[in-house]
Amino acid sequence: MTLLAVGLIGLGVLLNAVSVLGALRFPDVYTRAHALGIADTLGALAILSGFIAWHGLTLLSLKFALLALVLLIINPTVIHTVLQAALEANVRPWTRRERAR
Amino acid sequence: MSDVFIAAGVATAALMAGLLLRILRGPTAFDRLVAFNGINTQAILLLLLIGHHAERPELFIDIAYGYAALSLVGSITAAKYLKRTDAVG
Repeated sequence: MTLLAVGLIGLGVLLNAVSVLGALRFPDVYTRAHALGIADTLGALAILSGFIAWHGLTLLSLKFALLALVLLIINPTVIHTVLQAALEANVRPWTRRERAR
Repeated sequence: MSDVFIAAGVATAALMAGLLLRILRGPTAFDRLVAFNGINTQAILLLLLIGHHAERPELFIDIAYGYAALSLVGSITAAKYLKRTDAVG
């Protein structure tokens, strides 16, 4: 179980690193939010699953599972609200003709 | 086996520094807000990693819940405010 936990935590950190790399390299706010969605859902879920595998089935691991559920609800809500505000503030999506900023 | 939590915590802190670079550089306010939300998620994970390193995760999970609730309120408030005003840039 310890090996599984270490593997899941390492996988989560790796996914977060990929996501942050995308957030630093992508050209506009919509693609950056797309890249950060990996860390907000899959990376956090992998690390929390690693904690659950570390502890086994206890009350604490139930709390980790509930925190994963909470993160899966609030992060898409926040990103949706921010990007809707960006669309209403006339931030234009990147197209191939424009230069990356 | 606590080295795992130290290594993952240091990596998570480095990722938070990378997102901070995006906050400093991002052209619009929405870039900064998206990166700020990413920092909040990484901070929750870093709290849990610190809690496991301190061998007291049952205390730090409650702090993580409080941080998650506050980050939700803060990000949605900032997004609604930026939707109303023209303070983009």
